[in-house]
Amino acid sequence: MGSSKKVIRIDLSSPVPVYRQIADQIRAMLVAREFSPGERLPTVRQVAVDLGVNHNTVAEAYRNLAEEGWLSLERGRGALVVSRTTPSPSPKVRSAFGQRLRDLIAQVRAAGVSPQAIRSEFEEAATALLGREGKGSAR
Amino acid sequence: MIWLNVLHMNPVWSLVVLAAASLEYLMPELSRPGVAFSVTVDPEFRRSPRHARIVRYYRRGVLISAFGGLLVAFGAVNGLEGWDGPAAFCAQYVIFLIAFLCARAATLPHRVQPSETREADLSRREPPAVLAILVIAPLITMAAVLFWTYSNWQQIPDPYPIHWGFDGQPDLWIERTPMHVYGVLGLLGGIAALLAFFGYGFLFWARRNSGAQHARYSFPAVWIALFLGAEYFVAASATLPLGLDIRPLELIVLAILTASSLYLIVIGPVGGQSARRPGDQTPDEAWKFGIFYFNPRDAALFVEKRFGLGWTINFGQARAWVLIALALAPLGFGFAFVMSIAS
Repeated sequence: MGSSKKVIRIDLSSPVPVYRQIADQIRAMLVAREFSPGERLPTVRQVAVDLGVNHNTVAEAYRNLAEEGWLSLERGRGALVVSRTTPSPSPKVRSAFGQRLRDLIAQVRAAGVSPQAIRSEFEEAATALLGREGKGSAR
Repeated sequence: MIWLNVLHMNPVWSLVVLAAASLEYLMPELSRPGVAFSVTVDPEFRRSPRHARIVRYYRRGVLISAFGGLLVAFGAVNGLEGWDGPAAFCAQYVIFLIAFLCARAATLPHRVQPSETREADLSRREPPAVLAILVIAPLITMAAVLFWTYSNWQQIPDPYPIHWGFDGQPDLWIERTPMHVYGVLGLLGGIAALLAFFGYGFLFWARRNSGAQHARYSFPAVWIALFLGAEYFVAASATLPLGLDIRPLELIVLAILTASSLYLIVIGPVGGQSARRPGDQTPDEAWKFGIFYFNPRDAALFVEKRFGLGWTINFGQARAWVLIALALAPLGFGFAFVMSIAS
């Protein structure tokens, strides 16, 4: 896991802000345990240089992840992945998740994606991100 | 008469003119597939008859530039009084630039939107700190030479050679005066510092693209080797007051420089960039005249050139202007110093 490539891709033409794209993809990697606690992410400068974006954009993404408890930021040395206890979700979070999921399904269904494709995509994403803990977890 | 001047032309400058023109002639082949004459194009366009025609006209221009440069080197222009060499180089470059800008103008109608996708590999780590020491080591050596010179002034030969001809014999000597000795050291120190700045910048401030192509060709590593080789060459030259025979060492460094340069020419920048998408992860608008990169929103200080070998500076960053000031200072000092020796 430690030596495999962990590539993030951003799309500058996307309506989603770049810092959100970066944070979302790093969060997905952290949830999928592609980074272990104690591992270091590259410095803000290094990621910004490789992506060709401003330092502040990457710094904002790192700050968001630090606020969520995924990272500990150290000046000039990058970000340290910290072990994070999963908080118990509030009813508000669960309700917002359900709403976003429904909106997303409606959106892709309206775009012509078949129900089978939607199911298979969800299963694939859940397996990739949740792995073993994907099934039978508390509802 | 021009034919008479052939016998008295400056061979070094003529070779420089020919080498520059040869590289420029090959450059369309060496550019990455998604870019032609610094314009983002569909990789298919590079295989089209239209592109072949543009390249043909461009190459005619380059041949004319070589011819023009050599004419100046042979003394076809009166009144240059010893400046034939630099003038030949400038003449060749200006004619090449016109050929390039014409080719670029002919390519612009075929421009496509560059890919807006950017990638970064989070598993890659910064180069080890020991490389930074490798960059700084020649500067420390030069500081030590400066200290030795100050402490052992009487042991410096008077005069001592600072340049050797092709026959291996010294052809330029300077007297042991503070202005000459410290002038040479200052000039070499400035050049070495500039090379060190570039070497460090390529290592730590340049964009490193993700993808297998990079690892396959090791393009940046060779480019860095070229700059470090040059820095060590300059640092070795700074030990001249010590009276050491550094020619064997300089020959080794020169061999490394030549091998790196040939490797870069053979491989070309194609190895440094992914060919999956049109463009090179930089916006077309940021390339002024297809040569200068100006993008304040890009954190990279160095980006790969679109037309030419190696990296170029991102002029949109304040640090770039500090670098230019650093470059001009030793050059200005060197020019003034060389003029004072000549007089």
